[in-house]
Amino acid sequence: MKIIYHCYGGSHSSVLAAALHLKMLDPARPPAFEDMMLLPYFDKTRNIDFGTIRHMGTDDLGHEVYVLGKKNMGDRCTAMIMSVARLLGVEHEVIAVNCMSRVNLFMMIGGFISRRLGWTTIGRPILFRGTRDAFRNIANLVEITRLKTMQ
Amino acid sequence: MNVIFVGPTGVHHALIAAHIFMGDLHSNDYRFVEHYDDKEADLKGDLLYVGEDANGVKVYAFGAGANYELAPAIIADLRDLFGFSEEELVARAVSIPGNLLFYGLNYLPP
Repeated sequence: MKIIYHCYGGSHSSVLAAALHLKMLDPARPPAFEDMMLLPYFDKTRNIDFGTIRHMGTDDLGHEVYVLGKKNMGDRCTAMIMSVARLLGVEHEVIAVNCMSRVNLFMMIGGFISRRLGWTTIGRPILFRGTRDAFRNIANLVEITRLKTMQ
Repeated sequence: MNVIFVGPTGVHHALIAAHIFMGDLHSNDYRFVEHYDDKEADLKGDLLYVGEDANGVKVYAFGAGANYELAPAIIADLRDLFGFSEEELVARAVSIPGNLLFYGLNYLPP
């Protein structure tokens, strides 16, 4: 099965969710700044990465985990992925997860300053604060997703 | 083969492009095109099946919202992930001047 976590930029919440799914992070403990920055793709994506499904790893059950930046496509992105999967006859082999519902204002502002404006010195501390606050929510989303993959 | 035309909505210019592709648009009066301006169908978020052309190509329209231009790349990536080829599925973005203004106006209450 392929699991696609998607968010606005494919750079923060989706990467965090994918990292939690792949057990790169401990769901019981919000990561330190350095651990977060070590995650592949975390706060590192560029404009050309929008719309690209990027591989993050394979989980312990053999499911492949991906991240995607879909800008403001919202839940339409999930609907589109699932509709196209149905068209191809692979709807039972993919799960698309929208991470935006678990993102808070600090993550949005920090992410915008860091990625869009390129001011990482200012943006990253705000992003870090937001990510720590949202961590449990994102971990919960991942837990739900992992349960779905076991059904 | 399947072709998906993607626009901000799937029931306006993406739908018209799909009919032009199929060669069955015989009038500029789009009001009589099935599903034209059918917001309910658009809001479902599913691919809208438009029909099949003379060569057996199945044609769909899809509304991907304001950032519709990303959709063909996502669809292509998904297709490639599952080992399908361009022979089986192609998606194209359809734009017109004033695309996003049109998209916004579309969702104003009547």
